[in-house]
Formats: sequence, C-alpha cells, structure tokens
Amino acid sequence: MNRWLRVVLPGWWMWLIAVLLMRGLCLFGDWMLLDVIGFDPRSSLGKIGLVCLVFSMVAYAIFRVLAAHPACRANYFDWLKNSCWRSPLPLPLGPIHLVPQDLAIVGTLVGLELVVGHWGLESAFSPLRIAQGFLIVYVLILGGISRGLGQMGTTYAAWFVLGLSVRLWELEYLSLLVLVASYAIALWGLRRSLTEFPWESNAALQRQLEAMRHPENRVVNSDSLGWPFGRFLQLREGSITQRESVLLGLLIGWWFAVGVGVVRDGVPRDALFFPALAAFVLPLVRCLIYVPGYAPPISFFGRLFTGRWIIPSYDKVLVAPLLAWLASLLVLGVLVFVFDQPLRSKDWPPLIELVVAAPLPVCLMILFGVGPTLRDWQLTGGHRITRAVSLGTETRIG
Amino acid sequence: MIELRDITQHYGIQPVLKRVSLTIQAGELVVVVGPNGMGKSTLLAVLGGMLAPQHGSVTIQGRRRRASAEEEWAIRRQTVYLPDQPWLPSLRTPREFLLSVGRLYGIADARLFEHVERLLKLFELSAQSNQAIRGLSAGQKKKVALSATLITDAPILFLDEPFSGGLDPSGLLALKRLLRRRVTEQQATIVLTSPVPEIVEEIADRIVILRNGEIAACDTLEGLRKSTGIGGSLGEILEQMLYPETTRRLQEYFQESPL
Repeated sequence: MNRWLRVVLPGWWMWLIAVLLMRGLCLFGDWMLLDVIGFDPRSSLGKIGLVCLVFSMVAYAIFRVLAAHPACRANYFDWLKNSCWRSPLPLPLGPIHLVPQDLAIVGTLVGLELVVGHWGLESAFSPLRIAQGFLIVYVLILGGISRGLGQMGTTYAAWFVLGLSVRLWELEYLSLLVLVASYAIALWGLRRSLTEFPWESNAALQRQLEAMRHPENRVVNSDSLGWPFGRFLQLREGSITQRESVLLGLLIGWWFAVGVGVVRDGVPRDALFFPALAAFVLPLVRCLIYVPGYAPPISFFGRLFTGRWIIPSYDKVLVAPLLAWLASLLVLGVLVFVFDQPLRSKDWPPLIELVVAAPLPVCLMILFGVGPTLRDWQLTGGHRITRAVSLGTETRIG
Repeated sequence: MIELRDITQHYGIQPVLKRVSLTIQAGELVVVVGPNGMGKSTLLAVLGGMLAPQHGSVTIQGRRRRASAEEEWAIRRQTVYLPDQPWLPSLRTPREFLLSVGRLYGIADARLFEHVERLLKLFELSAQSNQAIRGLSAGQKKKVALSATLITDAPILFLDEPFSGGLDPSGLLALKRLLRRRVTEQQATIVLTSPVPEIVEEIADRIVILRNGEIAACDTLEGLRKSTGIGGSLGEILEQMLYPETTRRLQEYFQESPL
C-alpha cells in the first residue's frame, strides 16, 4: 500500500510542515476566537476542520503539479535532460497527470469531511466540493505551467471551461463533469508540452531554471544594485503578446462574470461598480509599472514655454491607460443606457452577468495589448532615466 | 566608434547642449572639460543613455541609441556609465556588490572572483570587503563605485568626475594608470569629465572643451597649444579660453589688497 501510494505521496518532511502549519492555524484560530473575541471555538470545530481540509486540498493540488513537473525543478530537469527519457515514457519521479493514487488521497480528504459532517458539526460544503476544489486548483496550476511552456491555446481553453464549471456550481454533477472536461484539455496541453522537452527555445524558462540552479545569482529587483548599475541591465519584464492580451482580457472578464453569476447579490446594476472601479484603477496601475524611474525628457514648464505640449516619444506611455479609461467608460455608459431595465431587475435575467462584466475585458485588452511593451518602453522610450524610489537601502556618493 | 550628431538637450527652457557633434574613435581616452553648468555631465548622461536628447542622435559601434530595443540592449551590454553621484546598495558588502554587477554583465565566475580580489586589493578595500557599504567612508564608497564600472569589462566607459568624491592620492594614481592601460592594451574607449587640468593633461588623448553648451575646442593637448597659441600647460590654456574673467578678477583683487 505504502509503495503504491509513494508515487504521488509527499515526502515525510512535507507532511511535518503541513501538520505544523495546520496546528499553528488551529492554535491561532483558538486564540483569536477565545482570547480576542471571547468565543468558545469548540462550538465551531467543524469550521476549523473544514479550513484544515481546504488547506490540505489546496496544498496537495499545488504539490502534485510542482513536485512532478520537470520545468519546476532545475535538478530534476537537468537529470532528465541527460537521461534517455523522452515523452511519452513515464516520468521517473512520478506522473504529473492524475492517477488512482490521487483518488485515494482526495477520497481520504472527502472521507474526513464526511466524518466532520457526521459529528453534526458545522460544515459548509458537500464532500464532493472538496474533490472539485482540488481539481480547480490543480487545473489552474497545471495551466499556468503549460502556458509558460508555450501551450497557450489549451491553457486558456482549460481555464475558460474551468470558469464554466464554477458557473454551474449549483448543479453539482454537471459542474464536476465540466471540470473533468477542463482537466482533459489541460492534460492535452501537458502532453503536448512534454513532447517538446527540454524546451531549449524557451528563453524565459531557461532563465528561471538557471535562477533555481544558482539562487545566489538572482538579482531581486532593480534597486538591489543601486543606481545606475542596476537600472540599465535589470529590466522589468512582463510583456505579453497581443493575441494573449485578448485571451487574458476575455478570461478575466469571464471569471468576473462567473463570480457575479454565482454571488448574485442585489440587482445586476450594483455589480457594475467593480468594472467601473477596475477601469479607474487598472490604468493607474499600468502607469505605476511603467513610469517610476522614467521621467519626461523636459519639465512640465519646459513643455509649456517651449510649446512642445506633446512629446510623442514619451507621451506614448500614456496612450494605453487613457484609451482603456475612455473605452471602459464608453462601454459602461452604453450598457447602462441599452440594458437599463435588465440591469435593475432583481430576477437577474439570463446571461446578464456577461453584460455586467463587459467593460472589464475591454479595459484589460487595451492595457495588455496596446504598446509600448514594457521592454520597448524601458529601452527605447524618450525618457530621462532617474533613480527609482528605494526604502533607504541605498547610499549616495558625492 | 562613438558618434554624436547635432545633440540638443534641455530640461526646461534653457538649452544645456546646443547642436553638439563629436566623433570618438575606438581606443581613445577623451576628457570633457569646462566650467560648471556648461553641460559636461549632461553630455556624459546622453552618451551613457540616461537622457534622450530632444534633437540629434548618438551612435555607438554602428548602433543608434534608443532606435530599437535590440540595438539599445546591445549597446547597454557594451557600455558602462558612472554618474557623478551614483547610489550604492547600502546593506551589501563591496564584494557582493561587485560580484552582482559583474554577473549582470555576464562575466564568467572564474574571471569575476579573481578580478574582484585584484580590484579590492588595488583600491585598498580588502579589509572592508565584507562590511556593509554604508559603513565605508566617502572615498571608499567612490572606490567601490569605480570598481563596479571596471569589473564589467565593458569596452566603452563613460565616467562623470571619476577623480572627484574623496579619492586619496593612491586611489587617484591607481585609477589614472588603470584607465590608461585599458585604453592602450585593451583598446577600450573612455569618455570622462574632470575639473583638474593636471590629471587631464596626464591621461587624455583628446580634450573636449565645452563652453555654453557648445564645443569650443576638441583636440590633443599639442593641437590646443597650436590652435590657441598658448604654449603652456592645459591650465593656462583653459585660463585664457574659459576663465579670462577670473584672471581679471584676481588681478583686481590683488591690486586692491593693502598688502
């Protein structure tokens, strides 16, 4: 039994950490309830137990992907690269895909939840939800890694279907079925990515693996080497392709629509507050990522007095935020005008959550997709490179 | 080769550099001199890539600065810029800092470790090599910053006032010799600023004299002597070219003196 389970089972030290963490969580919960709030925690043992179960389930799902995937462990990757392993041979340190042993472990968690429920203590979920939760986290993590390995299509397809399964949360078995479909797509992406091992052309992955091999080489952020030594060669990376910007915008919008559809609080119009807030905040966030440390080439008064009110090489950084802001506002206005009645309806007309979420993908697609990319901006923008703000960790000379 | 063409730079309404054009050959050590506020540091910052000039272009080894991400990245890997007031990570030790900068420039570990030791020894920082930078004196910090530019092995160096900032005589001597050797033996190209004519005379292949944001002269010391007709030291040439008012004011001061 032990040998059979060992294929997927975490090492003893991980169990120890998990037990200690959970014990700490329980003690903290007891202390918070009993000493701070003055409430006897024994009356809500079920909730504490549930928190522990959810914690275990999430941790196990993350462990299952990260521990078995060669892209997440540099030593394993190096060893595998020099071995005769090639896809579709079984991976030596255990499979990444789900196997019957996972069913046994998740089944144990479900059983524990059943026991908690049997004691008549408070329990928020049906046991099946534990299994669903595990699968959701697993598909999310696996998709994230496959995306990094170039499997864009399958990753986003899996994530879209994942949203659908959450949308169907009320219909327990249908939701599970859709979730299994989402897993199947993610699995397809995984298999395709493994055929491309060792991903020689994936520069970002190779950099990550190198950083794992030599953590001492990793330069944490651009301030860590002072100014200007770090600023020139430590670029802030984070650009995504235009195709992906569309997918990502739609995905986030879809997940938001799913969330709104599941919660259904008040009238649909109330939920418009969040896209409106996002349309205001997200362009500012983009500015905060791009602008600090990259000042305009001439001062504000310089612009005024020299008549150069617009400096295209610098002001291009403001185009995407302004466009996102304007487009979101426009979409919001049109929606409020066109869907006035449905948005005020307490009955939540079918698919109204898609209408509510519509400004979000518009805003995100512009913010992610309209240039300049972060790299281009840092290297070719018409800016004056200045020292970025640091929290007293630098010393000036001269 | 480095080529500046028609560089104009202003921060507000006052132009600091006015249509400056200059060509610097590979393996040349060029020193920019001139009165305060005449654009020396701005010129270095434009060369170093800190500033995008309002007009004109900078071309380094055939690549134009900020023209494309690839070209700019290639230039950054080949150049190092030291401003007159750099900031260093105060909690890191000189050794850690130098190793990090070296790795940033992709220097192999074997060469890096050995070079760090030599630089620390040269600038008399071995005893402080494992102390946090914040505990060092101003001169020692300057030495750390200079070492960081030298550890990169970059073939093109832009150094703003490298001889200022509290360097002791031994540091000055070491830096002068080191820069000259980089130029003669490794064909490095160095552009620096300095207010000390004696140092400039000693190390410069060519001297660029900036006045009011324009190049007043650009030649070897011998060439400057010929073109100005002043046979003395660089100090005397600068005195005549840049500071005639100062000489006059000094004469007035001594004439009015009761002694």
